[in-house]
Amino acid sequence: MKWNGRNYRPAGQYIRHSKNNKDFNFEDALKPLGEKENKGNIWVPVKQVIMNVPQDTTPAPTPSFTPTPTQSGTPNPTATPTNTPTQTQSGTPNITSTPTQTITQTGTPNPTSTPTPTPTQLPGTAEARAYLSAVVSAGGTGITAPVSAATITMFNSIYSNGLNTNMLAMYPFLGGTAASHKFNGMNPLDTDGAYRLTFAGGWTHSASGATPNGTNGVAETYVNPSVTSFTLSGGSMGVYCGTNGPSGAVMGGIGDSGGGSGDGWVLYPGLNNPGLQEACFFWKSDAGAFNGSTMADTLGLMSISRTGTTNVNMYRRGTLLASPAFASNSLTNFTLALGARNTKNGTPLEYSTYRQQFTYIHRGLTPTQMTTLDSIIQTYQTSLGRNVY
Amino acid sequence: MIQVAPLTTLQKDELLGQLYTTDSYFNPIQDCNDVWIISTEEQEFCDNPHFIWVKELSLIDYCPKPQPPFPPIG
Repeated sequence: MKWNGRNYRPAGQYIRHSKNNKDFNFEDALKPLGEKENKGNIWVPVKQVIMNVPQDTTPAPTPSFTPTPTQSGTPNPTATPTNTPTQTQSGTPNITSTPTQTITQTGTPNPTSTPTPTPTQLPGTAEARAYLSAVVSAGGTGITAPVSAATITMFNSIYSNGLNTNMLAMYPFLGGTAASHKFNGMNPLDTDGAYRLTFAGGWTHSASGATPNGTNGVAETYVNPSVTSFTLSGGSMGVYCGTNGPSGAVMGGIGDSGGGSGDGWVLYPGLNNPGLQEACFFWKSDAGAFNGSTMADTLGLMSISRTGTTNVNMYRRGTLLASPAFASNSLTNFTLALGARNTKNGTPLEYSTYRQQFTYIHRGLTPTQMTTLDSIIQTYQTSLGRNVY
Repeated sequence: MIQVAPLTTLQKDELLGQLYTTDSYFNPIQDCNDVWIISTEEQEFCDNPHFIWVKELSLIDYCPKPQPPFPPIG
């Protein structure tokens, strides 16, 4: 098309569309003023760009607390598909070398059949998801993708190392509320029989954990050694302590105060004797044990364990502090409390202010297992951004 | 100094076994003078409409009962 014999459209002029103008060309009408003939290629690349936009209507997967590996669609028989796992576990290096969960498919798929890969799920993944689901359903907050991934990795590590065996309860304290902190990760049901915590008195719940007030804050676990298949040769409990509480306080325990029948099970993270020492009271009448050496603080995982009838082991951050001879006489026949020590008359004593960030109750961990568990829990707390050392 | 809210015996009986907020129960205890008390956390976080009156309780200094010596046999 030319205008007055020239190959470009003069500025200030435009083409009108009328019913009688059968030669009207919309493409031409859209050309910029002053553009020379056939130089409307500017529209060509624009069209190409628009046409070449990848028609990816599937958004990038957003990790959630219940990532489900999926594969959809029929694979292109001329190409080898790359299956990207939708489950992402980031920022949580596994101390014990638990393999990262991946879903891989190699080779060219058979074009005549649709493969139905079976995702490999690491041990503990289902349990982690159940726990996270309970936390979220109870109104817990802050369960972000990294928190979920870290929690799944922690469960994977515990299960891969066999620490779940004989683990009666573990409380990761996620979600920032009493309703979410109460769940036992080994059985996240809202029942006493599942060892769900019942909080009483003054507690402060936050994303960092659960902190009793040291006055009347206590949590009932419903774990009774005499009716929960404990033996005199096996038992362990520990708390990843987020605060360096005052000496003399108990972070969680079980026991009675009747003279001559003190068969309690009590963990003291720090007692002055005269320096700060870990101490315990472990199924033996009228006696307690100190670790015998002074500690700098009570931050981190403080644990006691026995895997025999003659000695009790005390640990700080996975390191064996002492293993004094401390024969067990009888199992306590009332329930374990957190934040204080239960007594047989039902009145808790020795309330504490130690913030609980991870607490477990086990039938007995060996020194090697204790080291492994400590590494897992420290890694977990670091992934959550709430490690204390 | 830790402060707590004193209760009458009737008030203590009313709070026993009751929730002050979701999944958190009142836990009245006796201080060194055998006065029933609850904590300031129970006051502050109480959202149970039946017990909002705890927010109006006055405060006193907390005097804990003497703890038994370690090992806890007494």
